Amino acid sequence: MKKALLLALAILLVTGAAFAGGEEEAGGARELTIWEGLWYNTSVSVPTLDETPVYMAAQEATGIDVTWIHPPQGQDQEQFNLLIASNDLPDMIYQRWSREYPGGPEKAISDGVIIPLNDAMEAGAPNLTQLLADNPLWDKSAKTDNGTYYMFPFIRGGEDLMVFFGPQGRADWMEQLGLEDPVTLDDWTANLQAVKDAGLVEYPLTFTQFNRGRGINGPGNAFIQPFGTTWDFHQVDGVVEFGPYEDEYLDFLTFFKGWFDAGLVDPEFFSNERATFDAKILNGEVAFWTSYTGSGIGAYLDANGGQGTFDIKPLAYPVVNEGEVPFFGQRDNPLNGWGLAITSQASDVALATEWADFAYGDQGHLLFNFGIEGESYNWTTEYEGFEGERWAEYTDIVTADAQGRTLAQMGGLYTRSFYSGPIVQDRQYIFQYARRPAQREAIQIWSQTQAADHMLPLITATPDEAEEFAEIMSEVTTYREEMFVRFITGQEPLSNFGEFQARLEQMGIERAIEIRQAGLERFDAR
Amino acid sequence: MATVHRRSAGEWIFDHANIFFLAFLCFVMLYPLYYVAVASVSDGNQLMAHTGPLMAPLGFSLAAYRMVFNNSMVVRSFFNSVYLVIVGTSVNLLLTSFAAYVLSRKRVYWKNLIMVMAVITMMFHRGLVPFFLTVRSLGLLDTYWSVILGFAISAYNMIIMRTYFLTIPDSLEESAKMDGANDFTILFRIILPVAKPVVATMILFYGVGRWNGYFYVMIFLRDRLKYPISLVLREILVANSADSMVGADGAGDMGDTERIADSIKFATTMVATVPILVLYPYLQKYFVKGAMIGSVKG
Amino acid sequence: MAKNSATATVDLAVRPRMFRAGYGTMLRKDFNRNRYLYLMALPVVAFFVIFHYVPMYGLVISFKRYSPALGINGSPWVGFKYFVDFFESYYTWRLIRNTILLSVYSLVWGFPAPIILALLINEVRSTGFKRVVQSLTYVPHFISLVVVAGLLLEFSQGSGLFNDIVQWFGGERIFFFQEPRFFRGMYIGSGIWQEVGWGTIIYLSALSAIDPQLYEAATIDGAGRFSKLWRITVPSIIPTIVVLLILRLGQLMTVGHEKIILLYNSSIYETADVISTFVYRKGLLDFSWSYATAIGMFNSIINLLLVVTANAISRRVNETSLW
Repeated sequence: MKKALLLALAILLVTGAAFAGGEEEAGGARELTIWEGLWYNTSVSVPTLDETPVYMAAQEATGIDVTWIHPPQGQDQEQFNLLIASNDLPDMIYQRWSREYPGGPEKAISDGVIIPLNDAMEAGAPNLTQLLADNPLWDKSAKTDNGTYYMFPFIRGGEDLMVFFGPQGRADWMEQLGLEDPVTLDDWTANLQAVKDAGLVEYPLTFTQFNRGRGINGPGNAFIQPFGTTWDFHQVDGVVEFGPYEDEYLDFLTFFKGWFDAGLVDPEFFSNERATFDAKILNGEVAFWTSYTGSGIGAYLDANGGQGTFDIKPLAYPVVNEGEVPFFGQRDNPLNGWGLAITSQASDVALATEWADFAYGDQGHLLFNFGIEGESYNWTTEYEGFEGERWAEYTDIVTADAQGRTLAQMGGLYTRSFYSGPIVQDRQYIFQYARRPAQREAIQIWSQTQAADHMLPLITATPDEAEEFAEIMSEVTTYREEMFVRFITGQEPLSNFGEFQARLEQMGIERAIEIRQAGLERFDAR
Repeated sequence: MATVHRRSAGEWIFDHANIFFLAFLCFVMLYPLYYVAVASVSDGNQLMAHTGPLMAPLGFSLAAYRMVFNNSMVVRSFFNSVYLVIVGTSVNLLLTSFAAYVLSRKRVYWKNLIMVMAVITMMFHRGLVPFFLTVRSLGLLDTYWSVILGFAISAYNMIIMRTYFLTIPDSLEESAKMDGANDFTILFRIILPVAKPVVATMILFYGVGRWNGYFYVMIFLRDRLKYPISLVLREILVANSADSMVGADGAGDMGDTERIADSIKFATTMVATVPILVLYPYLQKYFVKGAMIGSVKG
Repeated sequence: MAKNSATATVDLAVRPRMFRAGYGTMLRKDFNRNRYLYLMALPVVAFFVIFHYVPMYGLVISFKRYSPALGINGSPWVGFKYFVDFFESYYTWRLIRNTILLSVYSLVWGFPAPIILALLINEVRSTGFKRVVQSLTYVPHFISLVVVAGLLLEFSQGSGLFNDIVQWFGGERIFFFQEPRFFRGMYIGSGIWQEVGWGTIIYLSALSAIDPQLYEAATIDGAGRFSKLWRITVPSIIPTIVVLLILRLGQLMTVGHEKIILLYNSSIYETADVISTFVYRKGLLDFSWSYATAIGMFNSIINLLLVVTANAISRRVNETSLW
């Protein structure tokens, strides 16, 4: 009986103790907490960045002990949301501030989530300050309209790093059937039909929707852009447009529906998960698709290496008439909105600044791009095709893991350049990551578009605008995705396109375009 | 009487059709699990190329299990789950039996107050965001206590247990009272031992809930080292979609891992499901009785 | 403070003396006699208050524009803004329609299934076989939702098991999670698969409670197997069916989000998007905490009304009541 009583008391005590358990502030310790989504190639080998060689080395170099908080895979968005709702913030957060915080960076500052960094950078970030001073476009993209710096940005340190996604297809089958690389949409139709008629596959073309329920990477811009519009916002001579709201979008729908009805497109193209998509390609169930240089071409060739004739080649973004330059293609901004921000609850802003700035200095740059000298990279002067330049070449530890882990998985342990991070990404990484000729060719082919002219730079909105924009777009995006499938699969006749546009207007799309336009003008004026 | 009765032709057909149908139903119930078991030990390449139902393993390979057990997350999370289930279910049992005991005592005139309080929670849900904020302000974020205490009593289970307790004759309690026993002694020494079926039912209900539950754990836990297996399973089964979030060039090789990816899914599913299936027969003989008495009279 | 206690005194003074004394003494006496019961009730009450009623207080953020920095109490009031927003949204009626339809179809298909199964099991003569069927059909109930959803998606792919079977019967391959018209069937079908066996427990126990003498009497009267089924077995479980049916009616607007979120994608929102999934997206993806809470509360209120109504009907029809 006494025992039972004690047990009950113990429960209450434990409960009570847990309630009372507040935070204890460690005085003077060089410690930081950082929240960030863990890259899935890293999470395969380690549960947190703490245990990666690159961060163990970083801790040694800086003397700063970082504790990482990672959301469950695929829950980044939800967990970030809860983190903000809880108002229980770590010292720093790595996030795509331009897009994932509704209201953007200025709103995040005015909500008291993150702090302006102008003073902190001036006081303690000589490396980044110097870099931004040397690169005006980076500088322009790293701050809000009113000149506030808000993050330690992910910077793509070269043109070669900004293009990494495009159309690709089975080189072996094209050769077997004597097909030329398609240039125009008609070429594409002919190629798709030829592969289908030859009985190689039932549905030649496929796409994947990486992220269930949120956005489509799908036909993306590759097959919309020939019609002079896109899937999202873009600009034409300084005028912002929303692709699906343009009349050209109907031309695309009509055309693409033609493919769909002719059985040239995988009926599951809209709901394919990444794994399903990969399996279809590797099993030879499809002949053409759009994907990445690394996790596309590279990965598929790695996986099917030596199996039959399996071979992949990159294909140009299509155009309507031969000789045209594609209207759009995948191209990332040098600063794509990802960055490490300091929160309003950071216990030691100077320490956080010191930590972040380390990555932009020489030592940090090498560490985060290549890892540890003598372990994950060695210096060499001869790297294939790049004579005369000093190269940090990845060692076998990275490129040929004894346990059979992939290049990307090892890169996830020894570097940040393989994915993204508060660093300047070095182009030497991509030339080693994209080792195959097909991958190098891809970067080259996919770069030849007018994307740079038509894409929006990293613009920000005022807090009020941003909230309004987020409200409008949350309805618009759902509607756009749904209607896209309905139009293509014929659940909604194309004759209803006018109603589709009218509905978009009713949802406030014009106001959203106006907000983007204003943002663009302010960006140009920075 | 039964021997006197002779089955008509219609009845004969019905009996056999019925048995056939029920056997088929059992097959449908179990086949998915069988499929998982067979696929998990199949050879990756053959599995990927295979179409159609599986009746026996395609080749035999334990590669997927080796990968799973080499994965530090899976092993650690398995033990996290064991901890969570043991501690969580103990708290559930303790508090639920307290509640059921109090609610089944005739001498407690304020018991309806507690009953109403509990029943309201069955229909009027604490909103997700407010619940989260409460847990946060209690300082329970990123601890197992968030889910252990946050789900300490299910009103539904509480009612089942109380109903069962009501069927226990008062004379037991009264004679114990004569001997000077207090309520704790009565509950632990007298009531619970005779209420084994309902206790087993509760262990099964709560335990399975704790083992399978992933949603709130996902909401409250921050430290990946604390993940239970359900959460790891979720990542492997449904969330191979993280790359677009990280915003990288989706750089990711696959190599060998990809080729046995399906087998890995199935192997992890087995690791997460087998403990329940092993425990199930032991509790099954009790819980049917417990659940019946508890629910029928409730 | 002083004023308060003065009021209290006056208040007490007005009351009959006897009652005042009786009340206090009674409580003290009851506490002394049953202090262990109070001790047991303490953590129970604490649990409900802390983990259910305190969050319910948090529901006030439906009427506020919740800002984490300002906290629940500091956030500004906005009145019924979010409720109005919800009813003005393009998707509102679709959400309500989907919620109700999914729920009604689940009821129509899912409710009779365990009854039929229980009757079939009850007709089995061999106790051994009966027990095996029971044990096996309960199993799916214990399988994690994540596993069920994962397998369902796996099996319903174009190249999945379901399509292999469809093709084997000479059908065309179907893209189950690509077309809105299949979603309800998949959702409800998998739900029945998982819960039908479990649902029989209550009916089987009602069936086992039937007095065997009834059957004997009927046999003597020359009743056959089927007429006994119709005239004795079925009528005797009707009360149970009615109670459960009424309880289910009270849940008509309740469709949980967990399973749907694991299954759906935007191409089938047309049928798959329900109130709870919308709340999830609003609250956890769009940072609209107050909006999400408002819709959730609207849903809860409807639930409460439905349950209360159902209970009132039940009390009248069946003389059974939840409270």
